[in-house]
Amino acid sequence: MWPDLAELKDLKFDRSRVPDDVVQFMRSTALNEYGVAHYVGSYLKSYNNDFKLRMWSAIWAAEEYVHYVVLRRMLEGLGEPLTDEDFIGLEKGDFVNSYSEYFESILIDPDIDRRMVQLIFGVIQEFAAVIAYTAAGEKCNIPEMRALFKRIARDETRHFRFNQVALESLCKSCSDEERAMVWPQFRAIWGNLQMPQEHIEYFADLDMGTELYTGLWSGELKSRMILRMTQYFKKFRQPIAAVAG
Amino acid sequence: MSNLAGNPDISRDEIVARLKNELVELLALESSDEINEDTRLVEDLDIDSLGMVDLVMQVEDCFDVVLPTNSDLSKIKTFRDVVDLLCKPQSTGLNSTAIN
Repeated sequence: MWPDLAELKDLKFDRSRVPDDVVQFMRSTALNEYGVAHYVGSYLKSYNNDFKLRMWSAIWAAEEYVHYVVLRRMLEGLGEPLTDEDFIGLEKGDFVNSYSEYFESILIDPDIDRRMVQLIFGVIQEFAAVIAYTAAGEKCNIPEMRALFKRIARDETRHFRFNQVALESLCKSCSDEERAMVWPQFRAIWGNLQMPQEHIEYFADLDMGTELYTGLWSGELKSRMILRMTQYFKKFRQPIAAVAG
Repeated sequence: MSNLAGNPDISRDEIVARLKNELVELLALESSDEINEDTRLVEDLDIDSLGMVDLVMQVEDCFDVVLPTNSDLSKIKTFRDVVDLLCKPQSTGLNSTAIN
């Protein structure tokens, strides 16, 4: 959590000590975090009448917005500020319809609980964010910046865990048939993974879709993603008692 | 759970045979003759990112192991590399305590 953002005012960093690809990642991901106003719409749609998950979506959106503020201030500290022009393309576009079309296309069953699908997606998306910020921190040669990346990654880890806990909780109250959909639904998403930013023309034009998160990953980080996701989701092929363990 | 690295009851030949059977089933191949130790996972068997998820799941289930999350799958290029991952954990970042 970020109790006081005042400490992040007037940051100064040595630009020459930060690799270009990390700065590029920061620029695009700062904008991506700002795009949360688009993304939260799809969450609220999936969570429909589930008040608690809708509440979580609101909290999540606020936290991602804070990440945008932090990243923007870090960029200013590097002498690489975002300008008003950077935001024009982001705010445009019909994200909700574009993303909804994709979301419906990956469903393994038209009657599957949309909350389940969104939570599966959330587990993947948030773990990807954990890895992306961890990778950025590891490539950054400035300890203060590294600490900030680590702090963002810690938030994303919490988001990742929330999605896991909520998915497991949902599965406790659903039928065996519904629970059996988790693994094939995960496979369907993984096989056609499109991060939400893929559905904002601005990012697509800059070739910053799903690549935005994966571009900095080493082979080892890609492996970690595959292993963690496989090992987590395959547990849902077993009775729920084993999943909780 | 078994520990392949320390389990003398499972020979390398047996691992090869079982792994071939798993791949035949996973990839719907006509026979295991299509696989040898030099068979490349991506180029020859067309295993993509989703295929890798299925392969990890099949390997872990078949051999009752859990691959440690620090395994570097990008270094697993051929069928032999997969066998080695299960037979020679020290050389691939797979330590014996991790397979349990």
